[in-house]
Amino acid sequence: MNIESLFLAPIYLPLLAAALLVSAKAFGQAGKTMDSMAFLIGLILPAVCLALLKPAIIAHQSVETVIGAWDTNLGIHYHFDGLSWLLIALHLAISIPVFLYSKSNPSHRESFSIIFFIQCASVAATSLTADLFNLFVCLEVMGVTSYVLIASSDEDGSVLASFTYLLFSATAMVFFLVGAFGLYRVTGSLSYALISQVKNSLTGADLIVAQMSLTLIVVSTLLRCAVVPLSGWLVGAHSKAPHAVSALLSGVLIKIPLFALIRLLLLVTASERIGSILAWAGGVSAAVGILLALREVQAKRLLAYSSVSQIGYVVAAYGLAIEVGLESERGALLIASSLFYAFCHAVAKALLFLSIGTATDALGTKDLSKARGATASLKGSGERVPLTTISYCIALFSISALPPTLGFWGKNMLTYLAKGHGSAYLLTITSVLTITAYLKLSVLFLPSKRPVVVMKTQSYGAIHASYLVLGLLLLGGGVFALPFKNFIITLLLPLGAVEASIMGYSAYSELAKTFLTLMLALFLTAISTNRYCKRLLAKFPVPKARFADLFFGYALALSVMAFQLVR
Amino acid sequence: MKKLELIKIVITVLLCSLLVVPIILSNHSWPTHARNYLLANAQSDTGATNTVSAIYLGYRAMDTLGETLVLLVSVTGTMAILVKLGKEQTDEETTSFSLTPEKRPTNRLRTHLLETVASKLGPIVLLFGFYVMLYGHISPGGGFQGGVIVASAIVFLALGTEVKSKLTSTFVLSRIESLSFLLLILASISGVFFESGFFGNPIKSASSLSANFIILLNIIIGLKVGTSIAVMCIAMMGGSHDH
Repeated sequence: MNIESLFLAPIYLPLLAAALLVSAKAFGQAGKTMDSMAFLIGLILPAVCLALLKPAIIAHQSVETVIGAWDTNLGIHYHFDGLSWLLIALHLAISIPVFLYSKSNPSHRESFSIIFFIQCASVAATSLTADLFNLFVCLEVMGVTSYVLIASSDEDGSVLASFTYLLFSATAMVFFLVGAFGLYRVTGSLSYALISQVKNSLTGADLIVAQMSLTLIVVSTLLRCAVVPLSGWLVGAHSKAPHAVSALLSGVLIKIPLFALIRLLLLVTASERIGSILAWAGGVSAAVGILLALREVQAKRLLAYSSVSQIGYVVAAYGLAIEVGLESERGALLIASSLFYAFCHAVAKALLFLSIGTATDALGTKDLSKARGATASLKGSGERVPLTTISYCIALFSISALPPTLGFWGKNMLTYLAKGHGSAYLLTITSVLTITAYLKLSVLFLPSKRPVVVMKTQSYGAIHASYLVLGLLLLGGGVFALPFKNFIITLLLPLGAVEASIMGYSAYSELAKTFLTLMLALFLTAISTNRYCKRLLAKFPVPKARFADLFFGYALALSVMAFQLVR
Repeated sequence: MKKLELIKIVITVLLCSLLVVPIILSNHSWPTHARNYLLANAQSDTGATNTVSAIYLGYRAMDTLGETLVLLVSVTGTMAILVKLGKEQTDEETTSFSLTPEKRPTNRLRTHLLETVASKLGPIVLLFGFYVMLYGHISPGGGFQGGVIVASAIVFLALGTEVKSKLTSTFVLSRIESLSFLLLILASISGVFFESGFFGNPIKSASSLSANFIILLNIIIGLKVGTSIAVMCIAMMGGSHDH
């Protein structure tokens, strides 16, 4: 088996698992055995393939292949390098525990698993593709699986939330297609390599066409990453989805398109301007997201707003990296820290969604003003070891950037590298507010004076297994943060830089800063529980996902980016 | 508030068109590289006379796989929502057109006229659908188009025939659908074991018919598309309760 067949395995093996499940379902053979077999083929085997590929990517081997082995550039190019390896690994690290968790819910039938596996394949394909039209197709598959998974929730309004997301993102994809058409028109090719060859010789009207097309493509892809002002769809969609799906969508799926976009941005001549907009958009997303989270009273919506805020960190570092150029040392470090933080957030947010989801299910309410005593309720419903509470605490530490977790390293390195840019201030403020917001969420686990509510009893085996995987990733990642960070830096070097290292920096030097942040956050929490302060917060208007507003935000993002490019 | 919304919509449309118009109005000469290459090599590369087939099942088969997945997922999603809605509304409304002594499941919109025409058309349309599917590599057509025609034939049969046939049972149809999806994935993976890689043609040298892989894919995709759309349509007509 050659290297091409090996790195394409994360695409076709999940598809095979999905196809087996479809057949098993139609022939009435579906059951636990089929599920475990699909789990082995669709998730474990791809992970083995990735492990086998590790030596190749450490040696900075990158492979460009044409699907179907056509001897022409009309075919679809796939590009395998450290970036795609990392993205697929990130997805597998979250989707394996999430799949385990989803098995604990009896309402997730075979069709859930089928769509789950198809989504896995689409994520791998998005990370690997180096073809514009294929990127469109991969994003479509990823989108349509998300819509269906969101709508599969039993909660009221899930279909409407999914429909809002569908309409908004489908409309944006039409613009993506127009952009792909424009780029094909002036460059005569769909593969990134050939577009970049022609791109530099464009002048006059053709250049404007190329810039407009690129704007359409970039903004439509950023919509999937939910950067402000394109984030209106996220809160409804991610809070109404089943817990396992929320974890996957908020953890992984909003980040993959961002990093898939990097291959396209590297080809652009004026990419530093796009980078500077992205850096600011990231900072603003972080601040706006957390402010909205602070006034939210529903647990899962708070987590969803926090996702908007946390993706802001990733986008800010990503934008800065593009702005300073990936061939410089700082750029290489920034992009690595962006991906590193994406990983930290993905694991922490997945664990948060799973633990909060389980806790609110046990309590029977998501309202933070009423829900108390989750630990007791969980115990009543059959959880012997209070692992849900412990996992929540670990995830809370990580997302608040407190040692000894992975998030401590990720966030501190990111803000350290972003220093000097305006959005770094926004990020620092957000760090304080993040702790405040999560302290507000923690009231769920406070002991309650009222009698314990027990909604239903269930077995916690699969749930605990998923907690363990994610929790150990956060704690183990915290211990081995330095080698892990250097591993990511090394893998991402082929994107442009020759050498980069972050030897002179240790997050321990910022322990004082972390302490100060924590104190400030505690102070703010103390203030915000004040009656007057609560009234003031409640006066802020609640943003609603109206179509007019969503599309207005989209048009605004389009025009800002187009203006920056043409200028 | 309404006024503000209207202003937003107008600004949105203006800004979007500002970006799209230059792309549409571009007078850059059309790219010729792909056209010339396809004219010269498409037939010898893939064996298909119909260049469209050569593109969507040959050079860019991966995109086609993606679109098939989109179809599969959206049909699954639609069925799930239909089941959800079916649970909520138990009393089915009947229309004035339906015949009174009806026992078949797909009875809601049936009239004598519809029944007569549909039952006569059904078999012919089915044959035509298979023709379009099987000859996709030579003449305009192919798996997707043929599949949709097959689906409409099945819908005709479901509307028109007196007896309940196997062909219109969602149970049988979804079995065919699942098997053809499994076959599609197996066909795309098989290249991995025959040196031609993922989506490579595994039977290139095995037969004298040079378009063999394209014909195979056309049949599989045709069955997949035909059955899944038929299942969805029959379910929408209220006929999925038979299992």
